[in-house]
Amino acid sequence: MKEYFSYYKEGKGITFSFKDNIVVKDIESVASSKILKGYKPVFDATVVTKVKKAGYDILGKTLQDEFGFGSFCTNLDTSFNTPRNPLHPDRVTGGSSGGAAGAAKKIKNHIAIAESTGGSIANPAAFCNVIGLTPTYGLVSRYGLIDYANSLDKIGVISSSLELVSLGLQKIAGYDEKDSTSVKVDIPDYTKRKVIKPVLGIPKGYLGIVDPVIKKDFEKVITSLKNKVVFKEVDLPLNKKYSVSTYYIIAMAEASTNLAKYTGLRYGFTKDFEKNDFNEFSSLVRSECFGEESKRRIMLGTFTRMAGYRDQYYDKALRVRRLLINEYKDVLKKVDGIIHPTMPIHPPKFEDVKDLKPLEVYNMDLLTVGANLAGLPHISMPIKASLPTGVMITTDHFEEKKLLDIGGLFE
Amino acid sequence: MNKIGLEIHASLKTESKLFCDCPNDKTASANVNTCEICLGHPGSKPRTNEEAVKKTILVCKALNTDLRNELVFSRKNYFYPDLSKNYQITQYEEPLGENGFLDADGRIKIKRVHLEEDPASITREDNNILVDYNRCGTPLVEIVTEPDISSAEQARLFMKKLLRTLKYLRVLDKNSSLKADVNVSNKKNNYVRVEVKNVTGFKEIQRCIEYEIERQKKEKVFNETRGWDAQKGKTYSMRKKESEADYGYIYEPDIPIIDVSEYLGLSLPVLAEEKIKFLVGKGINSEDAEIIADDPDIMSFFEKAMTSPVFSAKFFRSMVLGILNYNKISIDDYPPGPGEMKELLVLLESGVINEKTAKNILIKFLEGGFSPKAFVKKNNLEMLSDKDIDVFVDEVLAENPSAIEDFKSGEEKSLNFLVGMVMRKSGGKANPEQVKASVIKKIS
Repeated sequence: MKEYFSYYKEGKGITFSFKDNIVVKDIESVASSKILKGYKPVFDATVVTKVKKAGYDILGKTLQDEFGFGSFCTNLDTSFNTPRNPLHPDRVTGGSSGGAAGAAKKIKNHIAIAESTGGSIANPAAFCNVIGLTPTYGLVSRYGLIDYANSLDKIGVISSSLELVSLGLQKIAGYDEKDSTSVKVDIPDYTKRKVIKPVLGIPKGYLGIVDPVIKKDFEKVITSLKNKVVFKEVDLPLNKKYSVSTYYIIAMAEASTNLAKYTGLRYGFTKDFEKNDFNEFSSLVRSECFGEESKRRIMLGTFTRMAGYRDQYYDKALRVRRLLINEYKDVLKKVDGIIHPTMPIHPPKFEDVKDLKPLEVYNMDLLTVGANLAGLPHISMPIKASLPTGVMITTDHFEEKKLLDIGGLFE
Repeated sequence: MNKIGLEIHASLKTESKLFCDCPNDKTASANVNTCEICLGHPGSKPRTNEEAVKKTILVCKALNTDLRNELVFSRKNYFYPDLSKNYQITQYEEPLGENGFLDADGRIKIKRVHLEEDPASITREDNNILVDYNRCGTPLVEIVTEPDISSAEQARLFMKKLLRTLKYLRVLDKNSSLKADVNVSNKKNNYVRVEVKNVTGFKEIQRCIEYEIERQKKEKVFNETRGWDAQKGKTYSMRKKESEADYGYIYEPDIPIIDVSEYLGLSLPVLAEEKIKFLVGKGINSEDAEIIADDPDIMSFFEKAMTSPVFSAKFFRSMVLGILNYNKISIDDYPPGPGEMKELLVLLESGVINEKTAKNILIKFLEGGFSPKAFVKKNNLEMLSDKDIDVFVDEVLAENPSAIEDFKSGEEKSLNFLVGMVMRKSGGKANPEQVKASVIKKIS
């Protein structure tokens, strides 16, 4: 089980771990990037402080794709091992919170605190057959989270049972004055379950883009729940068409500014390049340390916000995002939740991942990015299938309790 | 015909920095006032300082701008070691204030007023760049004028009024000087615009404008960015501008839009213009009024210490401000209170002491405050009465008959000699004007 961690120590009882991009004081936190090698944070993330105060043992930091840039947890600095799927070692864990999902599957009574920007909790949870909950944007403090895309990043929970997931959420949720985007809301008791008969909407056309086996397994689950849930068809045409492009423009624009601070000058990786000029020095450090995907996102993200292109890309994406959120909100007025398979594919084998083009990988996020872009809470629940498969349910903002109750019907 | 526009940066005086709790104190030893937030450590997030927002709103109001009721921050992206995050949190699309003005020998339109964080301060030493992050993240207000200024003198007037306004608002960090980017162009060169970056200090900004106006009269002018060499008193070319620098702005995603409508009702304190009007209304000449009202602390001290206005203003301008300037101290650092100053003014005005004694008391005040009345009594510094003076005058006239003759034959100097002799006899405690009058009366 240590293979899911970048740092590990033993612990007792119900244990916690943190995705590597959540800083823990004095413990190397590098978000799987070489550029932060050796960086020991000077403070605890708010979620870490909360878990420490509650008295739980912390097992360590879990592996991830570099800065969260990836869908398979195969994009890590070479000094880390690549985590394998706990059920099928020849397959990936999913990502970017692959280590968290693997640890949640392998370790008993374990609550893995993970983070999602566009699907980084739901995706590995589905691939590792565990439960992944991404809360409403603003419910959990991001203070101490190494930024990927600040307007999208959300800290959430991956674990093996709803009981543990709700306990994990209970421990980390709540307003934090250190995070200006955190929201003042009353925190209910997430751990108490209620039996409800919800109305769930299946978005039109979403099943047409998933693997036929996944479609069949999903439909079987729907049929088996006919008495407990009212299913109806809903329509999210704008999200289906524009969510992936909108998501990647905003995420990359923000990421490209967030990564600017890493220059090897003040912390993390450093090397004597014998260069006096800080510009040259920073370029050498960044060239050597950032992985290919980071470089791609810096370049694309910078491009979308440059004068002359900004209107067509960054500004437009912000406006479209507003439309996409409204579309979700309108649908959620009519149903309790939206349901569809979490991922369009099964966890791929390592050898198949290598041949995928970046755009093919980005398109695999279609089912998860909508809810992430809208900051809506969503949960991935594993279902019975030949290969790990999840269903994803999305509810309205701050309806985590309802989301967990709906999840109970699938456990 | 010149067109001059200014982009002025003023440091705001606040308890803490703009986005963290570190003290806003640039005088501390290097890198003491720093934390994970202003050093841009991974995972840290900004949190907006309300005090800085309120003070910026006051600046907007004093400069008569339209006010937005939302505060929107953006990221301005560029790589430089003085930026801990390699982006600066500033305002771009939606500044807090727009379309204002300040009158300084004509109306100068204010294009925008916005709030932003100051980068760290940099010192170059041999081949090294030394960075002090104490300043990093402290609040700055940026004030951008339209190119409505036509001369260096008008620019000086504008800056003087602006600085005075900021002082009256009590928003200015006295430990930092004004900084400006200066745009200068003239008609002869079809208003091809030259920008001089980062000129520090009131006097330097003025010198720089003077130099640039003269240079543009003589040299061919390019659209370029220039620097200011204060030692040589010259601007120099930094880079030609084919296009504007591209900062790839995005909205600051760590700070939601802040509703500031509750602060828009903040009321302005009484500003210098009103104080000047008040003084002039009391009969004080406008030059004295301008000088006394230039500093709100001096003005408030003056108002409390004032006896008869014209007399007090003259005394303040020539004597009190002279002492402060000579000793390079502010009125706050000058020990006497306004009550003690008032006592001194009363003694001088009623003729109990002369100017020389008053000046000595002002100097003695540097060591600490005391009651001038008690001091004068204890040291026997009261002026002599008319009767006492007459006795001395009679004595001196009796002893110097030839001087009287000289005066009568038109020798003006003899009068000064006689007055001087009486003053010497009186031990300096006579009023020379009175002595003079008495001498003239007795010998003519």
